[in-house]
Amino acid sequence: MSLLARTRTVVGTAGRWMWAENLALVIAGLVVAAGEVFAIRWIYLASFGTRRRISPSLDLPLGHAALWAFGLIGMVLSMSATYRLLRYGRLWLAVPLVLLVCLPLLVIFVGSLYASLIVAAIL
Amino acid sequence: MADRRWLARIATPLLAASALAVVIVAGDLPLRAHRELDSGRSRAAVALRDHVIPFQQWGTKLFTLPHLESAYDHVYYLTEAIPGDQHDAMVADLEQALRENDEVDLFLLAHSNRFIYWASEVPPELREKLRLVYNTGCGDAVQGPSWLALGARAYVGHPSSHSLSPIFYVYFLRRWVRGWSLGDAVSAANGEAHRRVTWFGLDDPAGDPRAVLVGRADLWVGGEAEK
Repeated sequence: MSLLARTRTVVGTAGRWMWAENLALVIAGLVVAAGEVFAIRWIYLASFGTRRRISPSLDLPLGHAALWAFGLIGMVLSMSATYRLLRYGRLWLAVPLVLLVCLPLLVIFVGSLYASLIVAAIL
Repeated sequence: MADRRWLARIATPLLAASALAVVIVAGDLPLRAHRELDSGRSRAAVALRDHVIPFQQWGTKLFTLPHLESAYDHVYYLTEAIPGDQHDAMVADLEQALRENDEVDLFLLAHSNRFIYWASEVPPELREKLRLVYNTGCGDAVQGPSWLALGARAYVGHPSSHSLSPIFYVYFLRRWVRGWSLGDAVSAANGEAHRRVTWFGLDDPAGDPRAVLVGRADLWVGGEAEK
């Protein structure tokens, strides 16, 4: 079997296993968390990096927009992932995933929303 | 399967609530205004962030500017791109703020610094309106008497050689702009900051986030003395 075919088989098997074990939402949550990190990084470099790419008036609104957008989407995904794992997943897999992945993701996403509220001096 | 459905329905919101509890405990509680901030006196804040990495500059502005704008009539916020490049702007802004307002607070959000020399270029008769100077610089608590001699009514600085001042600053600024007296805000921020540092096993005299206050502890953001 060629390397490409073997890779396809491995990826396909892993994908089917993840789908069967209700891991799609968990993976999506992780992707959104990574996306938030990249978005925040882009914004602060665009604001105070070597070359300014955005207007100073956007320094704060863009940051808050990223915190809210990624925070809300991520929170819905992580809560859905938690529900789905506990409802349909195998407990030996669901319990550690919920505690080790979903809870930290929720802390990040809830933290994004809370930080934006705190930073924006609303609270 | 009915048991699993109920497990999922109960555990999911509980997990979200736990995440919120973690965030609140690690951060700070929501705070309401301590008193009416409109005292009939005009006030301005001048803040200067030094030359650090973009993430720190962005984070400082994201946190600081909305708070200052919520409590001051005029806010001048400066960020250094290279060391010293805001000298003229800071002296000009400080002078304008002092000329046009009854009271001016100065926030030096910088590593160990000697911005006191820049402030000393402002005419002495204007410097009398300088009220609070807060300096995040490590070991810069020693500048307290010099700032008071320059005209400030109170100075808050960090004595530690590794001040961890951002931890203190978060708790301090949120209380100061909500009308706490300076003494209370410093005391509460010292307690909150020290507690967080201790949780993470970083309780070390060389890395102490606590600040010291010299001068008037009864000042508050709205006026000269606590009402």
